[in-house]
Amino acid sequence: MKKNPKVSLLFSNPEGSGIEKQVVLVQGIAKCDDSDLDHGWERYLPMWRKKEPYIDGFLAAREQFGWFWKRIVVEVEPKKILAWKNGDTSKPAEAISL
Amino acid sequence: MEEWRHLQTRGGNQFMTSLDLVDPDRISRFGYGVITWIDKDGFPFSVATDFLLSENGEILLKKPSAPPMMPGGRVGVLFNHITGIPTGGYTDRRYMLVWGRVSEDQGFLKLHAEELSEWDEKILPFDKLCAAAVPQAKKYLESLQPSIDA
Repeated sequence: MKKNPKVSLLFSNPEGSGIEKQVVLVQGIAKCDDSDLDHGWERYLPMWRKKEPYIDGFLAAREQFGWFWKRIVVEVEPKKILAWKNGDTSKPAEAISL
Repeated sequence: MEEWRHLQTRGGNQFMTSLDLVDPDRISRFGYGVITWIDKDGFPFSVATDFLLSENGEILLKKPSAPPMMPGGRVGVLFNHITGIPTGGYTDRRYMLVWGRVSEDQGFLKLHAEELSEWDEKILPFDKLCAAAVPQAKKYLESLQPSIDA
């Protein structure tokens, strides 16, 4: 990603995205921040906690899971968003360029 | 030593059929595939679609409505599964990532598999997967060291 920052994020599986019956693709430019693997991600903890409340259990055992808590932060600046209504990818997506 | 299959990418320069590379029983346990290719602007374009296996083991992807792929261009097709645990974490994590090319075939895209990498935590538990990745992690951390020292 450092060499080629053009990336895309596909939200297609409700199990992971929490978006029922919708499919969204975000294309954007990624910025990899690995300057502080141990603490760089901490500013995003409130968002992480909102998505996965049980993360505090892992956080409490932080010293035992050093490898788990070393994290690269990848920030993606969206350039284009495509959405398939009702998750029907046989029909054209709606596109928004940013 | 089936578990070690999951640490190696197979295929590459050898000529193989999709059936040689991809276990049809294993792939049939997935509900859909995600096709990815590079679009005209240089970004990865990914779209999920249904698929089926023909009687002779061909992987046929339902043709999605999407920008055209470069003729003969390379695609990656990800078949994946995950189940969330209500109390936290995930289980039944598995994927098969097939690299190859597609050709149109009666409303479907026929996948010509060239390379495969896969992981199934029921075959190779997550901790063993992590342990196997230690040399790669060590190399990465060593590459960061100069910027940490600076």
